[in-house]
Amino acid sequence: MTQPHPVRTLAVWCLDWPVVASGHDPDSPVAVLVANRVVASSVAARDLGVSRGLRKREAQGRCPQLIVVERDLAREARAFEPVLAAVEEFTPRVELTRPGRCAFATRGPSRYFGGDEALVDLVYQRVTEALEGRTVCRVGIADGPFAAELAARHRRAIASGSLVVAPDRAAEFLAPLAISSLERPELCDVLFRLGLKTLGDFAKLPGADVLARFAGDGLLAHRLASGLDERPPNTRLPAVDLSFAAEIEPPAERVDQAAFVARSLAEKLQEALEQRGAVCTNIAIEAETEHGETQVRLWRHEGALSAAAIVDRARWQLDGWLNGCEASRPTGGLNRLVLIPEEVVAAKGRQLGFWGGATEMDERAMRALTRVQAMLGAEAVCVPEVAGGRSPAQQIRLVPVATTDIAARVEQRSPVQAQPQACQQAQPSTLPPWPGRLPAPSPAMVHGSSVPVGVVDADGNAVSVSGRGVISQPPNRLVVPGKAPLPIEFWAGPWPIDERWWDDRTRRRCARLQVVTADGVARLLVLEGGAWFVEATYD
Amino acid sequence: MSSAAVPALRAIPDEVRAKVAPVTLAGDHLLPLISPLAAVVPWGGLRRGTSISVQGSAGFGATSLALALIAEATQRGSWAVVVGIPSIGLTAAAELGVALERLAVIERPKTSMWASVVGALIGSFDLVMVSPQHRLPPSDQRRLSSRARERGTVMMSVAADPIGTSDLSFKLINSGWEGVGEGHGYLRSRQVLLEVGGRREASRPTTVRLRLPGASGKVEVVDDLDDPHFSPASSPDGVACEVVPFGRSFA
Repeated sequence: MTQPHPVRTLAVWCLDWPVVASGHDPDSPVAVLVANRVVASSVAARDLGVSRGLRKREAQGRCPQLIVVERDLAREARAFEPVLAAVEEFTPRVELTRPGRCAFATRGPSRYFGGDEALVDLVYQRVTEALEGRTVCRVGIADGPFAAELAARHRRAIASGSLVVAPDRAAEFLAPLAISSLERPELCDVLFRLGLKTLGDFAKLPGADVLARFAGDGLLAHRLASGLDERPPNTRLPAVDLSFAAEIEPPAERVDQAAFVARSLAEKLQEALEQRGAVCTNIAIEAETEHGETQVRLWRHEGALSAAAIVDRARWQLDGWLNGCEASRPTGGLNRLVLIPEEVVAAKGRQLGFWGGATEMDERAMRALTRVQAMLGAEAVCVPEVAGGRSPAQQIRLVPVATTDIAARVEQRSPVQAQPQACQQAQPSTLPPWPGRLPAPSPAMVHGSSVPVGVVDADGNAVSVSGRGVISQPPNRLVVPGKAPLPIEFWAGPWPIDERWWDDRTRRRCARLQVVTADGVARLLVLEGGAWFVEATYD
Repeated sequence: MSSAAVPALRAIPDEVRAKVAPVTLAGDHLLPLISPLAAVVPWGGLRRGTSISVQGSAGFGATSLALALIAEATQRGSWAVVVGIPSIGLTAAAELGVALERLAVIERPKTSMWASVVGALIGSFDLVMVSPQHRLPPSDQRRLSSRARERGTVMMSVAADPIGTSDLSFKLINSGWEGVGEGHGYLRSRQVLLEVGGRREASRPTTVRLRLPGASGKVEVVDDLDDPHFSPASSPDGVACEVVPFGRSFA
């Protein structure tokens, strides 16, 4: 079977785009974070050892003067708008993969501007002007978007600014590149351990075997590594008009109003695609103002664009247009929005990852948590994290969900346990051993130190614990303010704790006592600074 | 089919067979429970879309029981969220077997937002554990429960006071601790008397005595129901009181 040629593509890559879009001085150390992990850093920060994947604290440890910013994709898209406008001078059909990277098919433009070499130079000059010295760009031309992007990021492109891979030479060009260029960390890790260190090694494997072992995503990676089009031939469905348009009345002046319309359109589109058993991989979003100005952007996605992803892209695009620079800003409100699926492929159903990964239930839960965060604020929604400590409140702490990557947490832990009654195995092994921590069972209600009580002996004197950890008298009654005293039937302790005595601010000296009162309720009492508190109830 | 194939089929482990089963069985509408609790509820699991109430005076084990009820489901991939119970003991949750990576906690939702927060969580989480401190208007209450029924979410209310009727209700009647004496030992296990009732199949209340948890840290059913006196501090095996961790040396 003859493989069709991949579309010859020109890719533009602007370095460190998340950092540039943050608006900080490119020479200062800047790191951009998502879920407490560094996703991009400036050159100055990289020189000081701040690399991708570090935690915020590790990064700040390596570089104390580091400027830390949260990632904001809308801001990145907005900042990319002038660059995109510059590229659009060459061809109207510019595809965006994400802010900072765009590509277009070169067939027409290349002929018009006098060949690939000439086109590359022109694009490079024009984009460099548009960037106004904030960062540098790289341009590459090769067969297919994947090879073109790698050409733009190739070391020879970094030296000269651009690289043109001759037609039909994509496979040769790709062969010596490192396997990690596939940007699929788990797959690359396995392949690397199998001894396949370059794309060429991987491409030599028979495609059928790759499909058998690594499923659809593996085959896609194999096709990319072989310099073929990312989708096998004849998967494209016959073109049916699936575009959806909406008139906005009155015209929308703000992005969120338009995004609201985009959401309903995207949902309709998604439904129509689902009925045909298809997914959209490339979509054109067209907006028109009341004065007739139009803007079209093509958005490309490696997988399938979900309704939420389409809305995100519409939002980025309109944000860039409505809130962009003075020159390109439209003069009126938006009154028409159209979604046109450009490339539609058959939906093969979502297959769970070969390496586990987030299930649909995980994704649903994460979406709901994001929604609740939007209602209550980022701090209000928490997830437990094992921290270690001596008191029940310290051992597992709550951290805001915004600061953790829940998908990674779920993957890290063993996947869903298939055996019934798995949880009946003793769990506490997951907790680190802290000498002096109370033995299991732990109290199910932890009050902190907010409930002051009195503990008295048989004569009604307050019970105390001496500096040597000796209790003055056996406790006899528990006096909860505003209630009748409760007789103490059984008690154990005291267990003194002298924590962090080397640190004045966080040191803690206290003694704990377990008591069971006559009503059968067990409590954990703590004596600190001469006063008793109910620290926890064994509820 | 040849007769030789039958033993081969029998050799397939149950869990593999369950995984490859092509149809959705009624059992899939159940969220699994740890075996001691599965034995005391009518369907052997928590039915999706039902409401559950766990009621007991503070200290009788209502929170522990609620955590034990969600434990097995979270281990098997369901997500649970705890709304408005800021004092929940997460260490206890881990010890009772809750998979913490599938647990979210919303400690103090604003009273005005409570209904909309819970509404957003229903459907996306299999288990929603709430403490009904706020008196919701009946219309909100109905809307939430019908949404839960439709989306297959189990709504679990944990409270000290009796709550209105629910599909399955657990009531803790009393509790007693073992393992602690007068100045020695430490809390090791607890026995509770649990009444399970509710609607339909569960409408006839049954009473069961549980160790919540037992000395091994697991939830156990106490078999000798005839034993009328389970007094605290007298462990049945007589071992607990002899173990003195480090209390006595200070006494």
